[in-house]
Amino acid sequence: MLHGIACIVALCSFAYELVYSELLTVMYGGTVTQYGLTIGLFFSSLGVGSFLVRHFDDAQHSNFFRTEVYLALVAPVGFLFILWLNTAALPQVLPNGMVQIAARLPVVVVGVLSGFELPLLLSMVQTEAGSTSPPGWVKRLGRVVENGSYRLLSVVFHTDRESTEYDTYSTVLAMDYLGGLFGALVYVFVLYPRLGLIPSVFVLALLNCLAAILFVARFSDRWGITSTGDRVINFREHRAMLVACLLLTAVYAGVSVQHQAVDDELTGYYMESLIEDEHPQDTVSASITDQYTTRNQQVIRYERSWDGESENQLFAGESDTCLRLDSAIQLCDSWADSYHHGLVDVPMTMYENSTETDVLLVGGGDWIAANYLRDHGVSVDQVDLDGEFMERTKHSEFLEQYHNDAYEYDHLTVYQQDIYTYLQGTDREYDLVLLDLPGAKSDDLLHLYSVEFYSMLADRLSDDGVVVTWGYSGYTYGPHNKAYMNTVREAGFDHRMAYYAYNDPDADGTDQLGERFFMFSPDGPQSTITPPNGTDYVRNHSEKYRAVDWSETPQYAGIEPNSVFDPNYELIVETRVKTEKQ
Amino acid sequence: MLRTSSIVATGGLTAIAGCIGSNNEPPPRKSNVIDNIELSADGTTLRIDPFAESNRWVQSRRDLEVNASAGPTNQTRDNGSTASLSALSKLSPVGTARAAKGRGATGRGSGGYSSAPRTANGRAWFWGGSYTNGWYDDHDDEVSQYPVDIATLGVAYIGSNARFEEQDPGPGPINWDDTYDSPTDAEIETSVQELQPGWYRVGANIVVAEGPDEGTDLGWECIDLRVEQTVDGKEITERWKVSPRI
Repeated sequence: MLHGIACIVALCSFAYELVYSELLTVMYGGTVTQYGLTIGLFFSSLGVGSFLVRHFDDAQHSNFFRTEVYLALVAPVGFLFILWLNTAALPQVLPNGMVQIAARLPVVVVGVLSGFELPLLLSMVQTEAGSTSPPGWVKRLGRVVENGSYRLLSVVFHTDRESTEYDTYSTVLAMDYLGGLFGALVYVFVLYPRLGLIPSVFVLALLNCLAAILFVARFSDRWGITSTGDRVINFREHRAMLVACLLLTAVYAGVSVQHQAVDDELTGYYMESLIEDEHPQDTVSASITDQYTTRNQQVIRYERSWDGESENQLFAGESDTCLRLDSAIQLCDSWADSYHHGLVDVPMTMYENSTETDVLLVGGGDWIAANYLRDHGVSVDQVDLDGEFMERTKHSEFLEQYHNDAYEYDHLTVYQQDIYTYLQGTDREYDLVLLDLPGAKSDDLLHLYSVEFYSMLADRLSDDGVVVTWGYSGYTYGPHNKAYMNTVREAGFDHRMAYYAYNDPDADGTDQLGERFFMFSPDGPQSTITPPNGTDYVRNHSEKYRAVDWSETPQYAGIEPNSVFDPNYELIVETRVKTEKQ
Repeated sequence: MLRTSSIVATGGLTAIAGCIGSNNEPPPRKSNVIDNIELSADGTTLRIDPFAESNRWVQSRRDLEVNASAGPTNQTRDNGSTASLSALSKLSPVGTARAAKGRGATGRGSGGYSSAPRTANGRAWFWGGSYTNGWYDDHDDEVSQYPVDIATLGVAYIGSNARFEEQDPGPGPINWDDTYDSPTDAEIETSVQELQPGWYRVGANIVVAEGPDEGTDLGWECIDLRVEQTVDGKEITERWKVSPRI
């Protein structure tokens, strides 16, 4: 029983580590950094816990029960604390480092508590040693494993058939590490993909509670269900602790059953805060209206409203409907049209509007770019990783108004796969490559801003082919912009043409600067934007587009290009409003 | 995203220091483009005085083929003010640049002008601070100074103080009310009529002045001005140098 409990609690502890690593990655970005820091902190905290347990009364086995109850309480509360830290309007005098340290405290506390477990279990197993006999099948399995491992190890180590000092430790540690492996597998293949991050922590806490209840049922003096005469280990615990444990179990069971509602509520709370933080305080409020998670990303639709005292210049009307993929904005009502005019209509003035023109559309799972391309009558190969998102958007009321069922276009071929896989597997050449991708808000997407990716794109371009993409403003995201330009240049795109889309989001009759776009060519300057060949939008802005011309892609000193195996994290952008610190 | 732990770090709380969310952004670029901006004698319009061609330059990390001089000069040097910028909060990009994918959060908050770092010309230096000298010293070999011409000068009314506080446009061009192509060194009296209280932006689109890369666009250098009605008439009470990060 103790070995089984060791396996369960180790499963929980290791899975907590992964949950917190992922949570901190979502909060602060940088997968390698957050996973590395969290694992390091967790392991060192395990050591602290193991050291501190020397102060425990080794006759009081209830300490193990208490540890499990405290873990079950602290783990979810710590998770919610980190969420709160990233949404609360904290005093600006607080240094950013202090917030970062506070966000790691739950990891330390969970680690210390987890550090108590192994020494306590070892102590109990030693106490129990010899007094209990495992079931027959366990004995037989144990003999097989023992014989095999003895023979293997004898080849390279000094071995001893007789019982040694290591007997007790090795079995408990084996179950502990096995539990860790199970924790990783359960989290990776079951909890995270099926439930998501938030419900996972509650499910793990539920498991901790169940382990505590199992321990009580087996070893408690007052509430054990086996005869005390059968037990070497007995303990007594306050009724209040048991009640607390049962209450937590009931709560977590309820949360696990209603996990979708809980997930929606907490995700909505966090995302609304994140969206509002991208604007000055109290100027924009956000309200999530729909959300779901696919295997690849979280999709959120929301309404934003203007609460500022000055006249709203963001959008016309009372509110604006927007869509985000993970935390990156995909589109809003106020600029959906102008964005796609810029992405599609502007470069299409340079190419024949017929099926003789081959276009590769990367991303664009909302089908809107495909709709604009359909209007130009070109041949389109669309590659998008998220098939579930594409399927859902076909019948989305919000998006239907923009895509007009473009997925039915006769000259559209869709490939649901990773773009790297597609580019490596095709020898087709394209006249125009359009990148309708999410923003560089996490290192998950750094490979789409890499030398390798752009090199592959360059190889798939026809002689007068170009790549077109929206881009982050160099004025606001200077470090990103410079790293990006150096990356694209390194990939062979020596020339670029930069232009804006224009729109009038607040309907005051004045065109405003909209999205920034870049056109890249690896073969020197190509033809320029030709408004007479364009749509009404392009013709209406012909003066501005006629003035746009090719120039050399900028190159900057002291800034490394981004490569898949040598990433430049300066490419990752932070869009939240932050306070400058000296 | 499915992901598994892949790195065992060395551990320890000291690992936190310097590894989590530290801001290592470069400072705004130094430049000498617009010498002075004043109100006309009757207070109805702006007078813009660019630097003489021989004194006009910008610092950049762009690799260009010009007769560049390496390293920083003192012209836009932080005057040693260690005033905290904590009173300045970055505002959203809303201003006049709308598209939400690529335009991000920048800006100034309410107040803070008196404590903001200063350029050698006495203007508040947006994104400036005591960290700038150290950064320029550490990256001395990456920075070059290029002589520039002004391709276009632009003037625009941003809006009232309330609008500016909530919808500061951040560095870069905006929809100009007035533009002047290839202005000379002479002072320009703008045709902006009926100067009103609020915020104005004067921007200069600068290009490399000489060499094989002559004409290369180096973006916009801007000055934001606050015009207020005082007992003595209209006055420019705040001047901010707004440059992109180098």
